[in-house]
Amino acid sequence: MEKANISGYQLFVLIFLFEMGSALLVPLAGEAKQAAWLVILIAMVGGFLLFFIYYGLFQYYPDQLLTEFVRSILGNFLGRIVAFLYILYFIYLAARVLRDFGDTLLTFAYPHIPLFVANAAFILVVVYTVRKGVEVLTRTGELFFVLENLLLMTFFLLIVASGMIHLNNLKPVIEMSGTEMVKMAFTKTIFFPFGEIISFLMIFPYLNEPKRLKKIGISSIAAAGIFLAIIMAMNIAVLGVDLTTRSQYPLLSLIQSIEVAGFLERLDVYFLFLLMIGGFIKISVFTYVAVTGTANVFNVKQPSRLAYPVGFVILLSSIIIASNFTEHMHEGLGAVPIYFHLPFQVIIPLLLLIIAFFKNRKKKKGQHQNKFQGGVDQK
Amino acid sequence: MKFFGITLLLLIPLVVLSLGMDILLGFDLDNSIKHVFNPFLVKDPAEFILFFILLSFLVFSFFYRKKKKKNKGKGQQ
Amino acid sequence: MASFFKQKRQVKQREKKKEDESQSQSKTPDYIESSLSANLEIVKKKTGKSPDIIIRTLKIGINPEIKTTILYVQGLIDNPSVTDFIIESIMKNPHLSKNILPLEAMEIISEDVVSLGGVERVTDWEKLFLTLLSGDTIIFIDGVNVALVASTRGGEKRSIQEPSTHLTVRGSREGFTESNGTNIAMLRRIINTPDLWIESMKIGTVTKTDVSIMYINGIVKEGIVEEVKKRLNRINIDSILESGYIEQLIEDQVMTPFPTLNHTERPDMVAGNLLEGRVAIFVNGTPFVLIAPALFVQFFQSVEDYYNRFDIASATRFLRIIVFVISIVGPAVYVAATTFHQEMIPTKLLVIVAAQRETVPLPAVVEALLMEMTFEILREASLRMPKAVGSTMSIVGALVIGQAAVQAGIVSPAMVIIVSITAIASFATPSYAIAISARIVRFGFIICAGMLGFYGMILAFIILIVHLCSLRSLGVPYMTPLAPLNPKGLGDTFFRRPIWAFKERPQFLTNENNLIREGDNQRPLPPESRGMKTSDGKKGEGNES
Repeated sequence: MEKANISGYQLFVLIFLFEMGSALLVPLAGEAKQAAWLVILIAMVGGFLLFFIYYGLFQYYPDQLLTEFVRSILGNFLGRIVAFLYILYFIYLAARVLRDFGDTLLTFAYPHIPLFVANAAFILVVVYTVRKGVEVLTRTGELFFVLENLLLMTFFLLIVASGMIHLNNLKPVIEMSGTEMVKMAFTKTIFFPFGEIISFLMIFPYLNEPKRLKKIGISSIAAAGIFLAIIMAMNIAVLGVDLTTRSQYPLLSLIQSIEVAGFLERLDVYFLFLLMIGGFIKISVFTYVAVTGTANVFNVKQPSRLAYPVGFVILLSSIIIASNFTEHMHEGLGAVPIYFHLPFQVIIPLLLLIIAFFKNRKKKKGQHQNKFQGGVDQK
Repeated sequence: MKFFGITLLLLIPLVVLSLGMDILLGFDLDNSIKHVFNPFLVKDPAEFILFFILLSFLVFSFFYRKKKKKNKGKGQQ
Repeated sequence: MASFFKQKRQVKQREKKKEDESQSQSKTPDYIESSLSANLEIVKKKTGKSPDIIIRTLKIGINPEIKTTILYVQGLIDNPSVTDFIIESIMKNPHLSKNILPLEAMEIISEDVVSLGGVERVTDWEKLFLTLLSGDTIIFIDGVNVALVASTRGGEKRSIQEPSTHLTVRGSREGFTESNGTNIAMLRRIINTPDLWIESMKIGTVTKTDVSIMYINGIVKEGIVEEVKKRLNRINIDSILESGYIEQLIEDQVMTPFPTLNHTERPDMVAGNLLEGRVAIFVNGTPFVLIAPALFVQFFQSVEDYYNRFDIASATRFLRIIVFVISIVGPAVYVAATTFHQEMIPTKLLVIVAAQRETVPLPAVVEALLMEMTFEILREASLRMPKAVGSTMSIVGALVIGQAAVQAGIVSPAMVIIVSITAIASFATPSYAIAISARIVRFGFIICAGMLGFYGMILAFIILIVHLCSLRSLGVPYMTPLAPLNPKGLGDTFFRRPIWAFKERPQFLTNENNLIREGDNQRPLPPESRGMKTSDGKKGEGNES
């Protein structure tokens, strides 16, 4: 762990931006058609449940990172392996987001630039940020939070001003049955973006007011969920169900359709800005988490030294992850939720929580007020 | 050297992972391996140059850090 | 092997030198002797018989006569006080023309004769030379191993003039001078409180420059003064010629184009900053006073913002921020838009720009870099050259850049417009220090835009933000109050809150026990209006007549 302190507001901002990150751009819960926004909200409630699992773990070990308390719970050897798997998971997620990001960039604005170049430029910026540590990342997040909100706000205004919202597009509100919606929310939308909060278990210990964590976590997830729902609803209201679900980036189509006063048009830079801010925060958080985790598991004294190697690994994996975009998307929608998100976001944390519960109960009986630390060396 | 080891240790499982993913999607092993290295086969010169620059950074960083550490030690004494 | 020997030899030589030095130091005794001639000998030897050190020997007393020597440095002293209050009064004093002992003579001189503010007794040489070389007058009396030091500092100084940077329309016309004493006095005149504390030290092993730290006790945050002192004490350098030396030796981060300490020539600006809890560092020999800690937003504040009404001040603040952004991204946007994102330019404008660019043989990046370079050359040249050549330069510059280059078709007129706008924009920031950083950063942006268009620009922007967020000034994050967010502090950033609503000092700079800076209900109200009833039911006064 590095020496750092982040405030509640900073954590709120970081979670918010992290959630909004790439989810803002894709047709989230697009298959639910008009009810997409409802599905997002249901998934958000599921996100609360996941958050409570993580929060429970955090409460048992309030000053330990995920990679540390895994070893406290499972013992040094097994814990180290699980921690290592988590690191791989985070790196893999970072690589996925980077690939998403790079592909989006190339398809919409830069067909001539090779993917590798675009990704490399981006990962270098991320590496620079991660080297500076979590405090700088959160401070940057604060500024970008203002910027992103300004962008979204003007963007709302422009949409409303250009008079493109057709509420009729949102009807019929509920076409699917309730169980269908819940099933969809809990098999897909909950993992992305809400379940990815698991990575924040590596950042929570830096919070300077741990008692407020529950409030902060819930409110930021709620804020992000509501924002995403509004944007998805707006996408459908403006573009219609058909276009929204068929287009890869509904927000881009939305932005491109803005035309106000004859000269405020072709605001693609808007989209680029949103895309990059979201992608930046998301990849940076994953990379940071992977770097501190690696430093922790392998006992590296200065985590910042690992930033470049890890960044390089992320860059390479982002290229070899799939040979083309279709394959990448296919994997992302099919295999990843089942084989990666489900175990890493739900099953393992749940098991850890149960074990921790029993372990700590025993502990409490035996010793009073003594935190279990296992074989973990705290720095 | 520790960093080199860590880098490899992280990279290899990820390569295997993406191989496994391809097999899972229904390709055979040969095709999967091809897919893994596919992106590196179609590189244009600019990409290659950038790749080697980054790679040399990586290699350089292993050595450079060692040197820096020594100097630091001296400075602190 | 050879180098190994060399090193050894060097070490030996160094050791030898050290020995020599210590020997030569041990040659001069630490304390003043009672024999006058011996003392003078030491002075002459130590100063290398420099002619500007005046040694004037007088004789006082009768039977036996006592030799008294007055020692001062020409030019550093205030001439009238030395001639009138020391030499003349010693020569004319009736007590001294009697039969007296040397010790008595000294008593008389120090208590009765020298009618100057400060008379001190000094016994060790080091202090004696320090005072002598700062302009004091030394009086030796034969047979006494104590010297008298009369404070006669003075000499030629630049008078107080209007500052040449941080110009304002409204506000004090005083600017700092090169003399520390004058500068500190100016602050004293503005802030009349005994809590205005000053601590002095000498920095520079050779120059022994006077450096003073000034702060307001009770307002300054605990720890900041100690931190400044710690950093100043750490300095071990031969010379301090300007406050820039200090700045570069105490700043938090070295690898940054942005200034992490502020400097100014204006006493009212220093006063305002001290009242917010900052620390000022005065360095003798320069009119630029350092202010620490500095924040990013502070470089967009001008003292005049507080003298003007808040709406006007806020508008200008906002303008400055926009101007700063333009001066950073101006040419980069042009490059990105013309090379990568033509579809984003409105069609009519695109046609014009494309028509202009048709004849230009260079890619937009090269064109932009070329023009920016030319501008920088012009700027640098006009700054350094003798004033007489100025008009020639401006003609050549205007003709070469403005006319000839465009007519020859080497650059497009649009580019000239962009470069001129950014050039003007970069001078519209109140602080020169941050304007320079903006100009350096601009080149980075142009290159990024040339390689990757807006993508590159936004990457550069992200790096810039991350970099700014990673900076600290004396431990205070550089981007406060924006990040970390301090809602109360926001009132003095992009807009300036009205003075009557400025209830508190900035919490991140000031001592937390002393935040309140004004009483409640400071908002001015119109008089109870005519004819209308007040809440008490009284009729308001002041009819139209």
